[in-house]
Amino acid sequence: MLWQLSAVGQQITGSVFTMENNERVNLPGVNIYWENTTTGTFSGANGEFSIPRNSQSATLVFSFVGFKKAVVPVNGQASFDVQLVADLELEEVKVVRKDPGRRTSLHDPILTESINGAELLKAACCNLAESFETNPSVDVSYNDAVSGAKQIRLLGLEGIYSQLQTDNISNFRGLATNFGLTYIPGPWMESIQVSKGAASVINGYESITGQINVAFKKPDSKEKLHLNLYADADGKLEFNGNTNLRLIKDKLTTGVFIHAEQLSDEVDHNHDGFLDMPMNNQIHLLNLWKFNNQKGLMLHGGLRYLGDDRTGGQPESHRGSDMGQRYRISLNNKMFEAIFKAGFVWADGHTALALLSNYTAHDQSSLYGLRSYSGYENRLYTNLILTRDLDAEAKHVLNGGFSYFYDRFDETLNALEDTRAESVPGIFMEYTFKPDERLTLLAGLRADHHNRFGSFVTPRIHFRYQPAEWLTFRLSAGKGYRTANVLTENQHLLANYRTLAFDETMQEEAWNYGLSIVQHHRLFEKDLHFTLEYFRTDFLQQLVVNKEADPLRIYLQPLQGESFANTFQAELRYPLVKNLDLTLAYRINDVQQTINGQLKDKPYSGRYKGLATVNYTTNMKRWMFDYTLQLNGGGRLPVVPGTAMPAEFPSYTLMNLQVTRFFRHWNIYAGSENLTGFMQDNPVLGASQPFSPGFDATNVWGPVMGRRIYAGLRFTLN
Amino acid sequence: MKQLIYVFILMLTVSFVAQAEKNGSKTKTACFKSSMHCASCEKTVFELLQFEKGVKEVKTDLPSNTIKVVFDERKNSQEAIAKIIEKKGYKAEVIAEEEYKKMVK
Repeated sequence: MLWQLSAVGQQITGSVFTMENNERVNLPGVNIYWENTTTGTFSGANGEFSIPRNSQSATLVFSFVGFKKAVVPVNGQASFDVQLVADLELEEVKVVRKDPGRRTSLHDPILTESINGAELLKAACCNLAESFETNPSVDVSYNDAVSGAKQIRLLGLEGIYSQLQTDNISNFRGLATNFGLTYIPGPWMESIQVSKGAASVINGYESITGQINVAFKKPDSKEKLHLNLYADADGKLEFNGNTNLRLIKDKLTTGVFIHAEQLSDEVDHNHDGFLDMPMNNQIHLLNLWKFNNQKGLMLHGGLRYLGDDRTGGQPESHRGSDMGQRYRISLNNKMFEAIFKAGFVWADGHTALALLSNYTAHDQSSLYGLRSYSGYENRLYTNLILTRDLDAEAKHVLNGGFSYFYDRFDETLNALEDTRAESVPGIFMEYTFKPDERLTLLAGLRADHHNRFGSFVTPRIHFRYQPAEWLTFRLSAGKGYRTANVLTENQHLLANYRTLAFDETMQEEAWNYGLSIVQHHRLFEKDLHFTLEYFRTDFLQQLVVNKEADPLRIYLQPLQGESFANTFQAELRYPLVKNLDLTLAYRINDVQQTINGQLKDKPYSGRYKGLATVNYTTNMKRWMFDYTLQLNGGGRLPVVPGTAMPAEFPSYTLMNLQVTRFFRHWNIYAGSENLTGFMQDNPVLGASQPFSPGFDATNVWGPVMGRRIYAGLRFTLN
Repeated sequence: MKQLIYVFILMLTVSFVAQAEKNGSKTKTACFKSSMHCASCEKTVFELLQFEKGVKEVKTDLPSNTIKVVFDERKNSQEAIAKIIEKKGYKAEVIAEEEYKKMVK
């Protein structure tokens, strides 16, 4: 008995954790060893460890990829806890914790909202576009009334001004701009990070209004198998599945992802003789690989294939009265992507190198009535980042590196051919000053050379100050650029009788400024979160879609004059009663643009948005109820000369409701999107004569789909 | 398809109502002294009992290292619940409710 006690005394025990948003998060799998020896262990599932005392060393080293190494001298103490501080963000480290669903980081100098698995369960969540339905910052709307493509708005501006990334690599751009959001299956996602305002220069010169990063499930995550089946009352079917395989213990892992969807029924709820949604067939496959030698080297690889065929327009039985022929929309997309990433952390834990790269080939052929468009895109992206702490406490950190971007388009519109290529080498440097937990200053600068637009400089600065535990201020200012792929990104405008008049590709340029205040209070022993934010985007150069000059033409032309967007948003989150979480948010959008020499409200831009979400979860989390109410403010519509179309669209309300029942390994859900069935009047103008003047399927400001009833099930094996 | 989904929703509603009606059953409270280390252990304990028969409420408290379980006596027992917790490697030493109330401030 005595011997046993002394043996226990020889063990050093404790746990390893990190702090995230002022919450303690335990770290499993941390490498723990006696300095200068080969004796070591790993922390357990809950970060706990136990290691026998060592005669050769009295210093314990804690190392974990993505975190700064901790060196702890062990004297008399037999038990202690160790905090690790996050280092280079090679990837999010998977940690187990309670899920509030959506959180705003307090430590990130950039205002970033993280949407994780718990929040993703609250919507039918077939794809990325739909996962924003419970989010106050991101608006989702239809591009047009025929293709089913959805676009987002961040800070009141179209999705093209924010950068969409998958696992920190810019993706779903160029030809994929129109469908990108609907091409990312919800069940593949582990989390989404939405950062508002100018982003870090490390990821490029784009991201004018913000950045949306989708983190796919990791091949070495604990989820072994996930299956999802979904069906809606209109006959849409979806299947999602992913599985993880450990080929060499913790070193080599692979994940396989499958997505398939089909809608083979013709759906025309408003009886305008045009399908509300195109019929489609889609298959999407992803294979991710991860190698981690557990000594600082990490390699990621991946292959992705997507094939999507859509057919919309007038149904089989319907003929236009003007040409005696069907107005048909067909969109065929094929995409292939290869991903390679490498990261290495030096043994001192203060230097890290990361390489991020991908190659994408995208082939699209489409038909909009009598117009045909085809595009072929080849894209290469590489980014090499070196991170170095300038001192032991990491108060000064320097990030620097090179990037190279190549993008080639071969496009054909009817008989008009266009081939162009972008080639952009770039260099960047970012300095982080973090004297203590309360203050962070992030200053970045990059220089790029574009083969057509020449050299340009991108400065960005971020400042965070947390004077008290409950209060965080943020300021940001930065410049952004992007190439407007005029036809590629606006091809949905082809679903229109009017001809498109456009010049060649141009570069857009804007400044973005932001200010935010995040407050956390304890009110009746519950957490209250209150956020106020203001952002302004000022365009120096912009591509303007001008529908208001000529009844027979849509001009895509460079901005002449002012163009800006101001958004002011307030958000409140509070658990009103036990198990019931309430979010209230309100945003004012003031988006103006000079069109035909006059500064006016930008068309289709809602003047405000209100959002209320209610989540009720029963005691044992077996049942979950989600309700979302969206109030969308009205706005201006383009005034087409010589027509008597309304100049304004009205405000409208949308509601979603979902019920989820959880079981040990699976859950079932059912719900309704757009519960009240609100639909825009006449989404297709001149629907009966699609080959005559007046036909327009692009004058869309509201939902073009009515009530959608759906149900599904998910199965998870850990 | 439409009918199938409506039937599905109906079944979901019925099962919820059925569950809600059973709430008038005999509840019992069991309190345990445990050996959890951290928030993630708390989560593990909760998930262990989340889908156990008759369990209505689980409250873990790290500072006092205690677990309170409210359950339906006809469907589960204090011993069975303790066994589940112990099987995962945590202590589940039965304590009286009064003692529990003193420990959890």
